[in-house]
Amino acid sequence: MNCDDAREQLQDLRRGRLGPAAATEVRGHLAGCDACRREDEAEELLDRALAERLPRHPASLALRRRVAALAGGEGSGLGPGAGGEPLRERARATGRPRLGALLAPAAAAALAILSAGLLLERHHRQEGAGLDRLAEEAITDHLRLLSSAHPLDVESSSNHEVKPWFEGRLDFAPVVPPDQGELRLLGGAVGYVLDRKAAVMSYALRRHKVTLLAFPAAGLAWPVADRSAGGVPASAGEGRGFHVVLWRAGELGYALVSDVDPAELEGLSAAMAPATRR
Amino acid sequence: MRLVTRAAGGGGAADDPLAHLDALHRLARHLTPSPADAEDLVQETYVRAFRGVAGFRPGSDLRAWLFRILRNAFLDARRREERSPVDLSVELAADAPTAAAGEGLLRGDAELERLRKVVGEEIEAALRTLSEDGRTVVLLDAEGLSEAEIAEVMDCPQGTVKSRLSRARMALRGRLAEYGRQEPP
Repeated sequence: MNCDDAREQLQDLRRGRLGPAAATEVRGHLAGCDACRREDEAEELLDRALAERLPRHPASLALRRRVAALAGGEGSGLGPGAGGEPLRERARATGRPRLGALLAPAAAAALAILSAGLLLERHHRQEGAGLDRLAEEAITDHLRLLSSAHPLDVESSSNHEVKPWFEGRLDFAPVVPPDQGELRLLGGAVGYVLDRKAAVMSYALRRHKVTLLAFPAAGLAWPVADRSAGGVPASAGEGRGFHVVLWRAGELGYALVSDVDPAELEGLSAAMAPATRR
Repeated sequence: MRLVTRAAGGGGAADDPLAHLDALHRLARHLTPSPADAEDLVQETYVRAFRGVAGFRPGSDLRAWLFRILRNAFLDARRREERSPVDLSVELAADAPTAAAGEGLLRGDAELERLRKVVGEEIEAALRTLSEDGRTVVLLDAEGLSEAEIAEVMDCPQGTVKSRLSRARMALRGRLAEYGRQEPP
């Protein structure tokens, strides 16, 4: 065995991936070759440095809680003060696989505290119950924005700053409605709605957050309009305590999401929707 | 699927998606320079994982599957940010061995001495000089993933993992040796 052959197998030797015969052969080479032995030692020291001295960066408690909430649970049964029946036990009882059932006890406890509503299983149940897919997706995007540590790519109260920011980042030009009444623009980000890029515009309405999503509507099963948003045909959905108003403006679709009163959200959509059609 | 087995009472910590949170966060912190971006990346990973759980292949490794989702989410974010002033990745150099690394054995005992003294901040700084591929392969190997698992994460042949890992580690050692040479006597 020459040095090149030996060095190719040093990593496998240290990781215990060589068969007995090959391991013996490499060790035999190392015993008689100072250079390869030093090489092996250097690699071993690098392994140790990475394992023992590289900062571990554990996830923060806040992130742990957010992910636990995303992982989901059993919905209402996990609210504050819930009985605390282990999720895994419930999964056994129902015989249904649940992601929530996979959570460690600590995560389940975090869920009991949070009960944030980012519940995947419930998401699917609601889908089955007829909640429109687009509305559900818009709510998920809104929740993602709410729980993100770094939600906005551009922070500005001026739609004349936010709109140009999207140029070059999207292959469409969304309308960015300005402040109106108590509604204040906070900024924007690029996100996704289903399989396509979306302009995400964030607003504050008193203490509530309002998200407006704009995205190409082509190829999407668009819900039947059953109401008017300032003269623009629109539809509405709800889920997990949030309300959504959807409308189309040419090739783009818009979804307005918030936990404000549905009548107030429809009022906002009535002010925004006509502007998006200009 | 193993997730189901776990729900039915089987499996261990490795089957718990949240058991891999710290490891995912660790990789995210080395892929993105900002702690906030790293948290968003991990969160996005779990969003995608829980949405795509139907795509999890029975018998495959949950940890590798989550790492793969995280890496794809990172690459997607980087593509989105290509024209952004915010540089998500720190691609300062490819993993070509430096002059110091190229000297290889000539450094001999001096390099060994240097590696014994290296501190965490230096390792982090040296990792940041590697390409994304280089950083990922080194860190996944350090997490204990096998070459086959890393190949699954990085969507490349196992042989490619071996050569990338070898080059990246050599480059890393070269950077660390350079830091040693810059130290005051």
